[in-house]
Amino acid sequence: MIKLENVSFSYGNIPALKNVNISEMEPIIMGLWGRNGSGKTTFMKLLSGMENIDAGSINVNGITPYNNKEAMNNITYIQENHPFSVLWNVEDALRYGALFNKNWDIELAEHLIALFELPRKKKIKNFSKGMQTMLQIVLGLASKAPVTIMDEPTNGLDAYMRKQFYDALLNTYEEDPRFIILSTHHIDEIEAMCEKIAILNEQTIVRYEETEELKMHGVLLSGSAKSIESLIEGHIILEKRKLGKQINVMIDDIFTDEWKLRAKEAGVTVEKAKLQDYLVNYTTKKEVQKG
Amino acid sequence: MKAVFDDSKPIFQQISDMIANEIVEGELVEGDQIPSTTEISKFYQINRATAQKGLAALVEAGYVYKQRGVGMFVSKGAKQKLLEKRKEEFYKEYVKPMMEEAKRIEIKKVELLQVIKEDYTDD
Repeated sequence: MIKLENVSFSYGNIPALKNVNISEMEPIIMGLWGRNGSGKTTFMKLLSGMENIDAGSINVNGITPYNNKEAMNNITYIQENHPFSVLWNVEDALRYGALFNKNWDIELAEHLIALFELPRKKKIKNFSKGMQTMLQIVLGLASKAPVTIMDEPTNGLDAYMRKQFYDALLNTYEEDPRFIILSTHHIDEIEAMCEKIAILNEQTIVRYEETEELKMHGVLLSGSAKSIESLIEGHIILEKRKLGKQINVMIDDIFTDEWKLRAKEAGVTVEKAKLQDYLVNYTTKKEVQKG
Repeated sequence: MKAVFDDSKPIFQQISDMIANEIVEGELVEGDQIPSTTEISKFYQINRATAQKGLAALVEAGYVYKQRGVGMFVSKGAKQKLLEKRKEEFYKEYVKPMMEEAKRIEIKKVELLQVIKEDYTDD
């Protein structure tokens, strides 16, 4: 579905992506996580052909997307704040969707508009943030593009809207499996949807793993400083916090039964870190060490 | 069925455990059809791959079997097999930690045995 080899891209002298390598052949739902400025937006722009790569090679669903009229038929990229015209209502947006997407599924679009209870005649610029996001979700899913990229698809959604989005996504994916990228800086909101997750850090993809595998990373230990010190020797410390004689540390390792045993023997408590916390620490660890 | 998954174990493992539990408790008996990948994926709002992995673990262990195009069913002798496995784990997972805690809070051996003797019945 996508294959990038040694892809680099700069805005003038400022590198936005450096030596990106990633390949995915299956039509999965993929998560894309990175902190602000890590290169997420550039990555999505290159995939959708909005920008051209400076070096390397890129292939998206069999084509080189930049300056390629086939890109529109193969790739949908829903930006975080879609530039809807200030004059548009939902019906205008649907017409636009039908016009620019070869696989446009009008039935799905109508179904989702009704399901999300989006007013059809109201100007989109007067929508709440959550409603605007819901409309973007409709455009993204109903495009039925073989490669569908959605930037921050849970932005502004309340808990109920989020559940509706999950249902809609899983249902249409089940019916019509295609390669879907969900980008976010808050992994909790999409991790359950994603089969694999790509992590962008400092302008390159640093990890690309199955979600379940990635989620096993991050060991949280808390206890007396003395008993913890011996346990963490030789491990990569992602975070360390002190409270009196007590310390909490996060280690970059896989949470195993062996850790539970070791912790128990040392009389400290052990937990698995949340994926979001692990990723934040993992991508800031250099700064932490400089501390 | 669980309402939600927690963070203690990988989700696919929680799926296998949940169905294994239902077999042990007799909610699912030999020949019963278990929920499909799609049903689990939609019910829990998780990706298919995770649901599939959870079910595959049960097939691998022989607790359920696959019938092409139909679904997955509880295998013959699954409950017995699971009970044996659980009994093996019982000492390590429950008895040993219990004794350790008893020691920590200074419960005497006679007291501990007394509690079990009084409360535990075979039915």
